[in-house]
Amino acid sequence: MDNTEYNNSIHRIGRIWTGVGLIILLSVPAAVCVYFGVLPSGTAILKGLLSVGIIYLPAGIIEAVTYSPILGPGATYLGFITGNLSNLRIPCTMNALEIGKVQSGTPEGDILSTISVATSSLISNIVLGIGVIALIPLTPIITSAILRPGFGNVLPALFGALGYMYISKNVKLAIAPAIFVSAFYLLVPFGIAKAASDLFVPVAAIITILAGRFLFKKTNWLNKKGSEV
Amino acid sequence: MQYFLAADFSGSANSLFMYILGIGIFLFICIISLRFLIHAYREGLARGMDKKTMNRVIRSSALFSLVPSAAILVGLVTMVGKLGAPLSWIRLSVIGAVHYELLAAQSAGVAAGLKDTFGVVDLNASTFASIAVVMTICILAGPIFNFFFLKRYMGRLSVVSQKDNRWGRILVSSMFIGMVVKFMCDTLLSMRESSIDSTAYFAKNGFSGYVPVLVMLVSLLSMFVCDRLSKKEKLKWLDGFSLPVSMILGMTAAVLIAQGGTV
Repeated sequence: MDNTEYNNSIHRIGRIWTGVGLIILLSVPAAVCVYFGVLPSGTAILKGLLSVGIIYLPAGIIEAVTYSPILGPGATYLGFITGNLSNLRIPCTMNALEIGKVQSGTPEGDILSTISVATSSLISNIVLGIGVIALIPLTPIITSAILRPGFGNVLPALFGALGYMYISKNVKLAIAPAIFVSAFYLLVPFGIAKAASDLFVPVAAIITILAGRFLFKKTNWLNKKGSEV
Repeated sequence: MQYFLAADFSGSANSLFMYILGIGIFLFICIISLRFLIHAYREGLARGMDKKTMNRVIRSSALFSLVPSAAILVGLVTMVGKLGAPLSWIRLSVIGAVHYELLAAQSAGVAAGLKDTFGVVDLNASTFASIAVVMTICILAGPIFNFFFLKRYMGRLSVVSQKDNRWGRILVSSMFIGMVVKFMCDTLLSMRESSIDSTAYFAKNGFSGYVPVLVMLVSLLSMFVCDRLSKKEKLKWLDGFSLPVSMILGMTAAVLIAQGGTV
């Protein structure tokens, strides 16, 4: 198979399996609705899209654009179905390219990336499967009243950790949204602040983007730090 | 088995049906991974690539994936109390990651009328379905982009890669930082709500409004410590576990505070 033939074949296979994957992914909530005999709440979906989709839908495209040159086509199609890209598949691919002493973007690099992401996907799938079997007997403990405060605080725990992860690398970017959001939450009447908080993800994102644009254009700081962002 | 008629939804969320869905996704991931693995391996052989190198990549990738996969498993534990085991398993087996899944679940649950601190026992069939829909669709942009545009994009890549994409990276970082800051500041709202009527807040959530702030700080500090430790050569393995370990420490702090009743 020459390069063009290989490229065509990997894109054909990738598209077929991505199509199948999309149908299977969507069939899970569809099956839940059919089995329980309910329709999802339109309001909940719309609000979910407004607060989460508004970030993750464009981010998904940007990730595909950013990661595909590193992964190559085969690993990109597969990795975007099996997930855990930045924390697992990308480092795994870098490791594979290092072992093979090949560059990403070459046919050999694409082949080793695909082998690496496929193996990694299989292993994490098996580990997760075994873990779920082990978890079944523990479910009553996990859902017990004693542990409820723990699970009731999953988001503060998550965003404390993520906060350090993201903000420690870009403190200046976080200043403007932190001042704006905390001032709004503490100074505006509570009822209004609580109601408006649902819509604050895009607001905080826009404020941070404006701050980022300002720092990028007007100061040297981000220009120097750009490669680390 | 009409699990969903029970007052507590945890039986339905952990029903046999949900596990069957999970097994279906498990098999699909195995099949698609093997399909790509076999295709790439055969192509490598046809191109005369060294078989030993390809086998080494397989062995190394398998070993390399064990620790981060265990970390994903720890992340699953943090989701089970909110969504039950099968849906958490399904979602972590496919595109997405624990922080995205929790965020999507939280947004859909709160939009459906649940309190911020909802658990699996608070769900009903409709909110469970809404959460499953939001978690699924909000992450599909990547695969949809690949389906329609990846071939064309890869074809033009040489031109695109020559452009300066620094602003693109800053844009993405800004979006994520904005989101993270917003959710960190949400703990201030809990504190404020509790200060207005602490008894009502406690009755609704089972803990005081100061707990989320403390949990966030414990988690942030744990992440800082993990980050510092993982920079040491012998503790590099800790890096993949930093997020779930910090979360679990934060959540443990919430349980201990609630048990102690000190706050």
